[in-house]
Amino acid sequence: MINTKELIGQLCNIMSVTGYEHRGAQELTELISPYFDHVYEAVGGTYVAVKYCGRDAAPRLMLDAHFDEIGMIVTDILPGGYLSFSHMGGLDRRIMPASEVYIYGREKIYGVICSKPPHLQKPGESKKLPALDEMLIDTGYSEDELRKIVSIGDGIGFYESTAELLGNRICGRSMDNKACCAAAIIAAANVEREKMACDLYVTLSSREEESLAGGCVTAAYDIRPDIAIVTDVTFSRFPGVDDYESAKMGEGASVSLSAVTDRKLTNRLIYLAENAGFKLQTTVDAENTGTNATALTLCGDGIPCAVVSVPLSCMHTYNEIIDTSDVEAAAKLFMLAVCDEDIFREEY
Amino acid sequence: MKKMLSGTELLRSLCMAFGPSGCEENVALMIKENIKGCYDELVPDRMGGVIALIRGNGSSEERLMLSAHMDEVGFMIREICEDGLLRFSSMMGSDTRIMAGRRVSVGNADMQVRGVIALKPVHTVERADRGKAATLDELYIDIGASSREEAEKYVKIGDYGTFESDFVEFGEGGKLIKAKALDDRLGCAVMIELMREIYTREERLPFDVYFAFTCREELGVSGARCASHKIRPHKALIFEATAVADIHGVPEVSKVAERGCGGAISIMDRSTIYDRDMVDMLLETAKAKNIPCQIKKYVSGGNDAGHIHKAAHGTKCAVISAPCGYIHTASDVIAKEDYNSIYSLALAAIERMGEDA
Repeated sequence: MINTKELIGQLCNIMSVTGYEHRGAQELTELISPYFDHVYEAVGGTYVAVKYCGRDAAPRLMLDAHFDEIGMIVTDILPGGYLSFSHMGGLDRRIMPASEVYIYGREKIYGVICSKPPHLQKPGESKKLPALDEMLIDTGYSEDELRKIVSIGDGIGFYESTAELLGNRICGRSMDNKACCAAAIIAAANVEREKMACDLYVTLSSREEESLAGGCVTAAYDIRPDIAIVTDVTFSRFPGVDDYESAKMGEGASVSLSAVTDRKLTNRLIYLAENAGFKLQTTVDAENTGTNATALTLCGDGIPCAVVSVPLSCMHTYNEIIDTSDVEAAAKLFMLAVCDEDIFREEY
Repeated sequence: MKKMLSGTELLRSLCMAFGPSGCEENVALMIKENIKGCYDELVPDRMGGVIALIRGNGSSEERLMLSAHMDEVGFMIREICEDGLLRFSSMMGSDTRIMAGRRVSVGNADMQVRGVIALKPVHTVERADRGKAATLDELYIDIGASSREEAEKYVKIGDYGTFESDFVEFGEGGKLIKAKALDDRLGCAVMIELMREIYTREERLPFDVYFAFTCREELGVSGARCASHKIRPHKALIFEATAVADIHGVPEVSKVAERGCGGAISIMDRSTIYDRDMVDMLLETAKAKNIPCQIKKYVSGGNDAGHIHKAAHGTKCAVISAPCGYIHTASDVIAKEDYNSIYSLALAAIERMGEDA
C-alpha cells in the first residue's frame, strides 16, 4: 500500500519548476516505474506512464496531472553575489520578500529574497508590492564565485519541503500539482489489471503553469485518448473566495462544471461516485477551468475532458495546504473510471 | 555533565527556541541551562528575565551591566473562527509582505503546533489590486483544523506565535547564517560565552558584572528598563542586532552597516545618544587589538539602551550590534565572523574597563 503523505512528499522533493521538469527525470522514473508497464518522457518534457489492461484494441483513458510547479529563472548575476530573476508561472508577489529559495545551478545553492529595511521605505511603501525586477536574491557568494556555479537561465525553486499540519493536512511548495500527481499514481498502482476497462495513460505533464501551453497537448496528440480526465487543484473555501468556485477541504474531490469540459463524462463520474457510496463536490468554472482541460479538449479532433480537483489553500505560495483524504478520494474515483466500460460508450 | 554548546551550535539552539515577546520562558530556561556554574548569584527579575551576577574583587564600587534581549518578533491569537482558521494580532509591525505564506509555531511555552499564514489565492485578487500588499485582516493562521472545536484542542485565544524557520548555514564556505530570532539570540549567545570566559578566569575584574537577558524588547515595553532599575549600573554594554541595507543597488549613503565587517557601534539612534567615552573606548580597543568593527552609519532604530541610559541615576551606555540582513523577518541573516568579532571586542572592552577602573 502506498502511503499518500510519503508519496506526495517524495514528489514535492523533485524540483520541477516550469521549463525544468527534465531535471527530475531519473528520480521520478525510479519512483513510479514499479506501478506502471511503461514510463517514458515525451517531446516537451511530459512524463507518460502507461498501465495496460491486457486486451487488444482497448480504449484509452488519459489521466493528466501537470507535474510542473511555479518558480523563477535567473536573469542576471550582480556584484556582491546577488541574482535578479523573472517568474516561471504565476508568482504571488504578496509573499516574496524574505522568502527562501534554492538556485539550481551546477550545484544547488540556497538564497534569500531580499527585503528592504523599514528605514529605507517611503511612507506607505509597505502597503505596496515590489515589482519582480526590484527584488534580488542574496546568495552569500562573491560575484566571481557565484558565476562559477550559476548561469543566467538557471531555474530557481522555493525552499520549503513538505511538513505536517493537524490530521491529514500537509503544507509545502508544489502541492499544486503534486497532490493530484499522487492521486493518479495511487489509482494506477491500486487498480487491478483484470478489472480495467481500458489502457490507462497517466501523463505527468509539463508547462501548465506557464500559459497552459501544456506538454499535455503534444503528449495527447501521440496517445490519441478516447477520453481524458484532467486532475488539478482547486481553491479551498477561504474568506474572500466565493463558495461556487471553491470546495471544502477534507470533504473529498470535486468536479468542475464548465462549458469547456464534457458534461456527459462529468455526470458519469458523479454517478460512479454516488453508486460507490461517496459524494463529489462541484465548482462552477463557466468559461474556463484554469486547467489543462482548456487546451486538451481542443487537441487533434477533440478530446472529451472532465476535471477532477483536490481542494488546496494558499495556492501559488510556498506553503500550499492540502488534505490527503481528498487525494485518496480522487484516486478512488479514478479507479472507478478506469474500470467502467460504459464510460467509453457515447450514451451513458 | 551535558556538554555545553558554543558558537554556531549554541546560536542554533537559542534561535530555534519559542520566545515571542511576553512568552520568553523557554529561552530563559535554555539560557539558565547554558550558564550553569558560571555566575556567583542569580538576581530575581520580576519581568521574567534572567540576571546573573559575577562579582568583582571589591576594588571598585561600579557595576557594569551587559544586556541582550531574549524575545523575538511574533504574533498573538485573537480569534478562533468557526472554520478553524485563526485570526491574529501582529507584534512585529504591519508589513504583511514578510508574514504572508510563512510557516509559524502557535501556542505557548508548553505546547506549540505548526501553522501557515494563509491568504486567499492571488487568482482571486482583482487585477487592479495585484500591486497591493495583503492587509492584516486578510491573513489567517491555518493549523489544519477543520472546525473551531478542533482548533480549540490545540490553541486558545491569547496564545502566541512565532515564525518557524530552519537554521541554515549558506553562502561561500557557509559564512552566513539564516534563522529566525537572530535578533537578538545572537546577543544572548555572545553573553553566555562571555560569562563562561570571565567566570573561569583566576583573576576577578575590579567591578561587579551583571548579565541581563531581558524580555519584551520588541514591544518597546522593555524588560531592560526594570532590570536596569534593579541593577542600577554605572555603565552598560548592550548587544543587539541592526538592519544593514548592504544589498546591491542601495546607495552608499543608505547602507547602515555591512555584514562581515564586525559589530556595528552606534553613535546615536532614535532612542539614545550613546556615551561618547564608551564609544571611543570601544573603537580604540578594536583598533588596538585589530578586531573588525564599524560605526553604524544611519541614525535609525532603537534598542534597550533607550531605557537603560535613563534608568535610576542614569547609565553610560554603548551598543554593539550584529549587522543583520532582513531583520524582523523569518529570514534574519548574519555573518559568522561578526559573531566572533563581537565576542572578541566585548571581551577586550571589558578587560580594558577593568584596567581603567
